[in-house]
Order: sequence, then structure tokens, then C-alpha cells
Amino acid sequence: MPNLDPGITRRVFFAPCIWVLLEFKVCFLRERGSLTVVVMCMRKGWQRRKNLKKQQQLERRSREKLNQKLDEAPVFPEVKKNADFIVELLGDSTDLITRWFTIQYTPDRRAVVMFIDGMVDSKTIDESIFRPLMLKGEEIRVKEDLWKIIYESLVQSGEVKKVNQLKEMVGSLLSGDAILFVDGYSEGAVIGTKGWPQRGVEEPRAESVVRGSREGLTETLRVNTAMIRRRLRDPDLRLKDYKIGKRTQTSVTLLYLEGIADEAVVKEVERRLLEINIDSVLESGYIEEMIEDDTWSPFPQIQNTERPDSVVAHLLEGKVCILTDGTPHALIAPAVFTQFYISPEDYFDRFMIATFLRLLRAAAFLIALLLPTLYISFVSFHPEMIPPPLAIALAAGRSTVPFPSIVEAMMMELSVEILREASIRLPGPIGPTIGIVGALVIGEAAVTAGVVSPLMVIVVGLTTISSYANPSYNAAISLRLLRFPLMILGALFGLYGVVVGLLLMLAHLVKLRSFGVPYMAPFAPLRWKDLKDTLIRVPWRWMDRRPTFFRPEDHQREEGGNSP
Amino acid sequence: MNRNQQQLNQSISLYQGYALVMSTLIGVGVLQFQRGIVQEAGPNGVWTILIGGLTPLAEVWLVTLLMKRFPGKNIVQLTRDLLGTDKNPRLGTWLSLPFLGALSFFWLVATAIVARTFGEVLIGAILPMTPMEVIIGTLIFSATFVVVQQVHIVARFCEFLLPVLFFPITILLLTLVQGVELENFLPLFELNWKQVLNSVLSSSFVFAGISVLYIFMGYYQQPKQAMKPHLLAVLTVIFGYWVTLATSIGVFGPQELTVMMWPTLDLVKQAEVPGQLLSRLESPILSIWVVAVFTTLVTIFASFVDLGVTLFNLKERHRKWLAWGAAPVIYGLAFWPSDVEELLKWGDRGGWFGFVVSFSVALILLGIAWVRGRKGRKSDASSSA
Repeated sequence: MPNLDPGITRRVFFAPCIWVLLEFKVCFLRERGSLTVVVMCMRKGWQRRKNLKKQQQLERRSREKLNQKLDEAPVFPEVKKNADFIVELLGDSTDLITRWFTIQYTPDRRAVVMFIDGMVDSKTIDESIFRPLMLKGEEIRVKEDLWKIIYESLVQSGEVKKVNQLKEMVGSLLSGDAILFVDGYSEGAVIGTKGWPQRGVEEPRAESVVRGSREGLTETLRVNTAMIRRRLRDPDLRLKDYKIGKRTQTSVTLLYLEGIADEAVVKEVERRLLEINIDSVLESGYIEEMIEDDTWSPFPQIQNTERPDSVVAHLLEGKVCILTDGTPHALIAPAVFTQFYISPEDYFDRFMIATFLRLLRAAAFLIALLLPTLYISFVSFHPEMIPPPLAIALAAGRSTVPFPSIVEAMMMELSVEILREASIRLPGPIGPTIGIVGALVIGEAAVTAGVVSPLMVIVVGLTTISSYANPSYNAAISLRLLRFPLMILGALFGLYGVVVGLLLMLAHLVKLRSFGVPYMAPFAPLRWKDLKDTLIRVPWRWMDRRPTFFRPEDHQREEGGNSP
Repeated sequence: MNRNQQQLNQSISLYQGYALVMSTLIGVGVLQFQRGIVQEAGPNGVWTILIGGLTPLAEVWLVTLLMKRFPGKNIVQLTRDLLGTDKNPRLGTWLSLPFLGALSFFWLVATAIVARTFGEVLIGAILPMTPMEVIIGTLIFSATFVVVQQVHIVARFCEFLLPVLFFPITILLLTLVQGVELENFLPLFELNWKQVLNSVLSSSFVFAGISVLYIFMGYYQQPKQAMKPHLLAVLTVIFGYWVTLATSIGVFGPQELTVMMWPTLDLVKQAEVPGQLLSRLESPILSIWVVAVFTTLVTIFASFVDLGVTLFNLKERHRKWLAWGAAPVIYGLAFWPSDVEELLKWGDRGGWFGFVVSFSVALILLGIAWVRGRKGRKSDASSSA
């Protein structure tokens, strides 16, 4: 733009500015009508916000009131009032059983026992509450305070607690205890009578081993803690209970070994557990997602297990365990990448076999992640790498295939994933059958029809089998997920794309931490001594110290004198 | 808390230091460094490269000497302390600007040159149909993805990838056994001093990149003991290059080497894999080489970004803005050279410039430190904690 008049430039530049300013002025000074409209609109919005605020405040106040009512209400001396209060609180629920009776010791006083039908063991209630209270009262000779007698000798149960807050009583009632009120006393008794139908201790479904314990955790928290305690009779084992879930009030227990687990990790886990603010916890997965470090990661940062022996082994490595009522899946934190590819059996088998199996699993890991990707990139970018005889066979097999290799691979991988998903949902015994039949028939037919090449079927089959070789389901599933972006990268850029994809994955993995422990430990940061129990497993005799990257407070696992 | 913060800030282990030097030095150069040396020295390159290796050894020695004098400080904080007076710390910052400017300019340009050379090789060798823009774009994008992390995570990244860099040596040894002809090494020792000097100089450019230690050593756990791993890393790299050069000369002979574009790539094409699993090795080698280049790119780029972060006192969460902001600049710079020849010229000049800058910065600052008698106050993190 030669010899442009500077005045024009200035005018061109300033004109819009001035125009905008004018518009503003007009906006403010225009006839009252539009101004009123604007004000009206503003006022309407303001009104709405105000109303909303008011409503929220009201709701909050009523909720507070209810809580207050429940929170501060002490046990009334009048037994009727107590019972009515609870019945009203539970909204006349049909499974609430209220049994009125008279203790024969002082016939003028009424007493009531309340419990939830189905959550209590009715035999215990009959034998250790009703029978002594109704019959044995007369036999007591020393005349004393009734309430004391009830507590000391009449209620024949191991778990009895005196409580004077109604809220606590209701909590116990809802978790399966029976509660007892007696006229004239502003205290109630909570009697442990929990007993609901439970699933027995069975072999864990997802983590079966050839050698090792057949016991798996169950849905009942107490049974689980007992199973763990039975394997770990260490007085340093600590259990801490929490109630998580505003409405479900799920019991959650944190287990760790004091003096072995890193105190900072325990504190951190506790802090994150207490910060959870959710209305329901139906499975440990809720907790896992609420306390994990990075939600935007395909990799699991907390391990889950169904095996009590596995839990004990992790506790002994200085990790903490979180048991959740209602699910057999315990959570183990912190977790590192390698531990998802380790089976508990590795420690029970002889070390050479365990090492071999681990290397095998590493190979399976690579196959599950990379084989389809490598197939795609070899076929479409680097055919020169395939040995000539194989290349010819491959070309012959692919000659009828109308699609590029990425479409072929995607199609097959997707159909296998669907088959896999379907075989889980299919009822009982026919699931695997249908899976096999489907895979065989579809694969065979697809090859015959010339839709896919025979090698592709082999690739897909190997990939699927390999991903099953992984001992941990939630780690295997992340591999299944990552395979697809890698396949796309392989189709776009060949091996270069694959390598870049892997590098990006690695960058993410290296950054990841689980409760302060680097996820790729002990490889990055490297600790030579901890490599003893990763890709290989050395004999137990040499694993005399705990892995350092979990920062255990007591490093020594074996004292000296274990030499052969 | 304070202790934790310190541990986080100074958390690069000695092994990671070794890995850092290794993975920075092994980069694009490994595919084409033979030509320059052989052009000057013919078969004598076999021994002149060993003399040429003395310059990077001296460089790493000087840099480590300087940096370990001020533990826990990277070059920005170091110069601020060293050049400023106690009354006027601002002065240090102003005086340090020429040094930092030269270093950061080198890092920026080096990242671009590495990315571009990488693209040229990839397009020439295995991806002839892919546009250069896409390859360089993806590479810089992925590198930025790593660089937005803190420095010690970059170190951990290199640490994990270090074993990968050792794989090619086995393949090279395979070729060495299979196809070397001894007469290719002759005649030896027929050189004048000028030729020796030239070939030494041209081989020392291959080792550009040691300057990243100016940043990374500020985050070491035990900077006092860092000398040994650093020297060891440079020696390993020299050994690796020496094996590559010797094999190339042995297989192709000096005459043929001077006309080859990427001699190392042609070298691995000669290798036969036992068992006929793969028929040609250039693609897997290039994949490993992608890793090698990527780590170089990442360390140099991370140094650039961290220099900016420390210089402008940016908060940790602003690191990613700086990195993502610098990425398009590097992308633009990568397209500056019009063709491969110009690019290689840039590469030579860049290497020379980087070497001079890093060497003279270390020398000057060491001199000043010695004259002013300044030392860092803190000792190793491990001993103080």
C-alpha cells in the first residue's frame, strides 16, 4: 500500500470506535420505553434468582431442622414417645417390627424391642432378648435398679451398648441391631443381633489360581475383616471404620499395618476418604473413583482384589486396604503399574516358573496392545520388513479383501469385543459356548467369504487370548481401550505413529502418581534393588527387604540367616 | 512440607543424570555424522573421532564443575546469584541476559533443526507420501505434551527410555560380524595436522546438547557426585558413535561413505536377522531412532521452557502456556531451511554455535565465580534432609 494518506488511516481506524461510543450513548439516552424493557428484563431475572435463592434456603432450613430433630433428640423417658418417634421417622415401614412387652420384675413398666425384619437373626432375638426379659425377670432376687439389671444380667448377648441419643439408636437399628427401650429410663440399649442371609465364602471368580487359597472375600464386611485377621495375626494391624454415603451409610474399613505402612500415605487415604461427599456407595468402584489421583487416565491407579491372601500380601508391602460393605472387591492403594501384571500365584510357585510366567505375561501384554497395530502398519507402510515368503502368502490372503487393513482390523477387533461382551451377559453355561461358536463360525465364514484375510483372524485371536492372560481385569480393559487409538495412529503414520503413540502413553504413565508413589516405579525412577520383584521374581530368600518405593517404615522382611 | 517441596524440586537421581546426557547426545546426528568425519579424515576417522570426543568430555566437565558449585540452582538462579551483588540482585538478572539469551536461542533453534532433520529422514526413508507438515507437527505436538510437565518428569521419561537406546548396538555388532572388510580401514595415519583438526572439530559437533545440564543440574539430588555419571555417559556415547563409525567404514569404505545421505540407515539394511523373523531392519531401527530423537527434542525443549519459567518467575501452571506458546515458533523455525543441504549446513552451524556458547558460558562463569569466590550455600539434598 504505497503513499496512503496517514489521515485516512487514522480516520478508518477511529471511525468504528466512535461509532461504538455513539451507540452506547444512544442506548442509554433512547426513549424511556426500551430502557424500561431492559430494566424489566433485569428485574425479572433478579426476581427469579431471588426466588430460587429463597427456595434453596427454605429447603436447607427444613433439612437442617430434620437433622436437628434427629441429631439432638435424646432418648425420652417415656417409652411410647421413643417408639412413636422411630416409627414416624421410618415412615411406618412395613419391615420395622415393634414388640411391646412387660418385664416381669416390675410389671408396671412397659418395654419395647424394635428391629428390622430380615436384617436380624430372629433366633438370637428370641433366645437372648425376649426369653430372659420375659421369663427370667422374676427369678432375680437382689432387688436393684431395673436398667442396671437388664444390662448386667438379663440381656444375654455379647454386644450390648447403652445409648442416649436417638440418632445413634436409629443408625444401629438400620444396620441390623435390635434396640430396647424401657419405660422410665432416658437411655436405650443397642443389642448386636445382625444376621442376614449371606453368600458363603466361595472361590473368587476373576482371580482364580492353580495353587493357593480358594477363599474369596464376600459381601459382608465383618466376614472379610475376619478372613484377613485370620491370615495376619499381627497386633499392629489397624482397622478404622468410616460411614460413607449420605443415604446408604455404607461401612468402609481402612486396614493397614502400623509401623510398616507409610504414615503419610495412611493420612492421605484417610483425608480423601473423609472428603468423599456422595449420597450412595454401592460398590468399592465409587470410592476408587472418588479418591484416585487422576480420573482422566485409562490406567487404574488403585488395585482391586477379591483374595484375602492378596490383601494380606499387599498390607505387608506397606500398602493400605479399603474394604467396602456390600462388595467382595477390596481396594489396594497405592498401586504401581507392574503390580497389575502380577498374580498372587507368582509367589506360591517356584521362582523360576514364576519368572517364566511373568515374562510370558509381559509378552502377552505387548501382543494385546500392539499386534493389530503392527499388522496394520506392516501391511500398509512397511511391507519390506515381512520376510518374502510370508509376504507372498499374506498378499495372496489379502487379494480378495476389499478393504484397507485398518478397516479390516477395526471390523474384526470390534466384532471380537462385542462377542466378548456378549458372552459375559449370556446366561450361565451357554456363554462360553456361544462365544467359541460365534468366533469360530464368524471367523471361518469371513475368511471364506473373502472379507478378511486369514492372517487377520490369527492376529485378532492372538490379541484376544493375550489380553486374557492378564491377571487383573481392570488393567486388561485399559489395554483393550488403548489398542484402538494406537491402531488409528498405525494406519496414519506406520511405525512412526505407533512409536509416537507409545511415547505419549509413556509420558502420561511417567507423570502419573498413586498416593505419592510414581506409577512407573521401580523402573522410572529406577531402583535396582526393587527390580527383584517386577519382570522377574527372585527366590524368596533374596527378597529380604520390602519394595522401597512404597516407603515402608520397616524395611526388613527377613532377618539374616536364610542362606541355604 | 518444606522438606517435601525441596525433595520434589531436587529429585533427579544420578542415574537419571546419566540417562539425560545419553539421550540428549544421541539424536539426529547418529544417522549422518560419518560423512563429515570421513570427508576430512578418510579411514582415519576411526581414531580422530576418539580425539574429537575429548571436546565434549571437556565441555561436560566444565559445565558440571560450574553447576555443582551451586547446588539446587539452575543457570538462571545461578547467574542471578553470581553476577548480582547482595544489595542489588536485579543487576545479576540484567547481566545474565546475554548468557541466557545465547543459550535459549541455541535451544530454540536446535529443537527446530532436530525436528526438521527428523522429518527429512522419515520422509526419505519410510513415509514418502506423508507431508512434512504433518510429521513435524505431530512430533512437536507430542514433545510439547511431555515438556509441559515438570523437569524431573522429563528426566524420568528419559530414564525409562534409556534401555531402548542400547538395542541398536546389538544390531550394529551383528553387521560388524557379518560384513566388515578390513582393508577398508587402510591406509591409516596418512594425515596432516590440519586434516586432523578439521575432522576433530567436525566430530565434536555431533555432541552438541550438553548445555541442557545448565537447567537439569539445578534439580539434582546429589549434584556433587554428578561428575562421574556425566563423564561416563559421554564416554558411552563416544563408544557408541565409534562402533557405528568403525562399522560404517568397515562395511562401505571411506569413498562410498562420503556420498551417502544417511549412512547408518544403509548400514542396518545390511544386517541379516537370524531366524528370518524380519527381513529388513530399517523400520525398527528408525522406530528406535524416533525414540532417540524424541528424547533429544524433549530435553532441549524442556530446558528452553524451564529457563523461561525460572527467568520470568512464572507459576508452575503457566509452564504449559509457555510450552504451547513456543511450539508454533519451533514449528515455524523448522520450515526455515529450504532444503536438506541448507538444513545440514544449519545443523553444522548450530552445533558449532551451541558448543561455543556452552563452553564459553561455563568458562566465563567459572572464572567469575573463582574471582569473586562465590559458592552456593546449600549442600546435597540427601545430606541436608
